[in-house]
Amino acid sequence: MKTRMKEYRARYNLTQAQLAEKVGVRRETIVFLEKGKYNPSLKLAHDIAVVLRVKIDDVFIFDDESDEKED
Amino acid sequence: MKTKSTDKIDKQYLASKALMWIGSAILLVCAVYMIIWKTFNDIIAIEVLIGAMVIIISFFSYIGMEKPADERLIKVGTMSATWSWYITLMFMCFLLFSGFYTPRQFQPAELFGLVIFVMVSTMIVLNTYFNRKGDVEETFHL
Repeated sequence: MKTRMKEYRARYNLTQAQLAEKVGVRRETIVFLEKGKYNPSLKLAHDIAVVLRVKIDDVFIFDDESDEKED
Repeated sequence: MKTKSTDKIDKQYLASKALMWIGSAILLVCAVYMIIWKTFNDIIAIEVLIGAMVIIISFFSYIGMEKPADERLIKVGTMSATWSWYITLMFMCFLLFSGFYTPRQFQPAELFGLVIFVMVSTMIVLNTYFNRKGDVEETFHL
């Protein structure tokens, strides 16, 4: 899975701490999410997408999905 | 979507983490004492009780039984507790078999110390490992 959280976060000038505050997790969780080392729950993915004002699949891109787009 | 306070989560996390370390340290010291001296007295009994109470209360606080909670900590904490329990069960089976096939006789206090030591140490190690790794799953290929 790939994530575009960092890109969308920069668009709204949000720090990791501010995003963490808005979605109710610790900053470390956002760090691991951006590194692609943490698999979020649907609730957290939805909350992040709402804060970043995009769709969930715009922020979180699964490998099989990106392969399909390339094909 | 409600905005929650990460400050509260952070404070709760740091306090419960510190308490978990204190509880673990008390239990490990008692376990080592029981393994080495193979005895069990009133002071050790009270220390084990205090250590167990501290670690149980702080663990539930750590994984977020008190809201708000961080979902990653819940995953990491519950998975490390599950694995720790499983490893301890396997270890106890190993001790049972070793008791049948070797002349070595374990004292009750020594056995109790070994079980406490394995359970607490595996939980600390696994919790630290999963916390540094980020997740309990292997799903990412960046």
